[in-house]
Amino acid sequence: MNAFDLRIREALRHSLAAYEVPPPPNFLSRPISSRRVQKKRWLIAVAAAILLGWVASVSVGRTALAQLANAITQVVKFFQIDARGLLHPVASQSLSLAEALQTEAFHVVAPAGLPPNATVESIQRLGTGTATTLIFAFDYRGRQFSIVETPANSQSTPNVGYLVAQPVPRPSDRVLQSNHGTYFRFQATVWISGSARIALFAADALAPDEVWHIERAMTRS
Amino acid sequence: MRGEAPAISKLMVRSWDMAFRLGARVLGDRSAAQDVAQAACERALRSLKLLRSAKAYDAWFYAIVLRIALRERAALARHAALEVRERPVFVDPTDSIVVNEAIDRLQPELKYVVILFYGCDLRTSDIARCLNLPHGTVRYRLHEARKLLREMLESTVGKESIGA
Repeated sequence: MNAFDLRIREALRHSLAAYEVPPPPNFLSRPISSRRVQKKRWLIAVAAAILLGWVASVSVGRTALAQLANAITQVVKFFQIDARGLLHPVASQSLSLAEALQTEAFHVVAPAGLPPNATVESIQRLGTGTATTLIFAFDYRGRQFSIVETPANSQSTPNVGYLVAQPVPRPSDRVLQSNHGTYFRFQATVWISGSARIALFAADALAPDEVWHIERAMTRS
Repeated sequence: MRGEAPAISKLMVRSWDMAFRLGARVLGDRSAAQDVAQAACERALRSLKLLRSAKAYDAWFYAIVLRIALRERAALARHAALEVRERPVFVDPTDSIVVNEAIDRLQPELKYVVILFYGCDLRTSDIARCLNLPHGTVRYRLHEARKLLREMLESTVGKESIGA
């Protein structure tokens, strides 16, 4: 390598080293096997869309959704929110835990491994058959987190309407406006347990080890 | 590469660093680079068992990062409302700025070869695998890139300071 090459290399390395690298997401920095995160990527967008649809359907309204969008800061992937969904809110059905566990579309995994003081706020069901979605909403120390369950082998996304939010993002959030809609960043921990696909939306309500504890408690082969 | 979970986790943390830096250099956007790093690490985790040699990991992983970064770049460019910044967001000493600006003026197919060769320390054969190109094509592009860089830098700062 001659002086010219060395100069190019030094300049490029300097530019690469100059980036301040953000900390990796929790799922990378904790002990993990290569198999456990399979099938995660696209599920995250689906689960996030389902949660938004649910928030819209239980008439929490724009304000609450805006707060939710603001609260969920760590991001896995973008997904699009369609403004037209506002016109068609999705109906939902409130359930007891016993009723939820009897859902026939898949073998529901009862929420487990929760922090001792977490309380159930609501259990909702969206859709039927392979599009059935159960949403367990919890309150923990004044903050909310949700567990969303869908059939693991479902190839179709439940028919969920989306709600346009007007969040006030934190500086680190990525909220992009375009002619095609609004993009948000959401983070979910998603895993497969038996015949259920489970997504945990914790935002900053739970510590990473609490999320990990729930995931372990609700995982079965 | 099918070692214990902590070893994989350690590897992923290192990979995150590699992916973010390359993603940021290609896209010039921290937020987009974070997405690229996330997607690349997930992809690498899923496909890790397919990797036969640990020595090939860096080239293999950079290939994943670059593919995702280029797709992300194309997706961003499709949204007219989004501004795709051509310049990376870093602050360099004077000479480094000049050189990096010259690199950014290269055509993308030349630029990525230069970044992978000089910035990521990959061999031309690895870059060929990375970009799914014949080895000869990579060497030609590198040669062309060098020539263009030399011309650009000569016109910018004068022949004396270019080097041998």
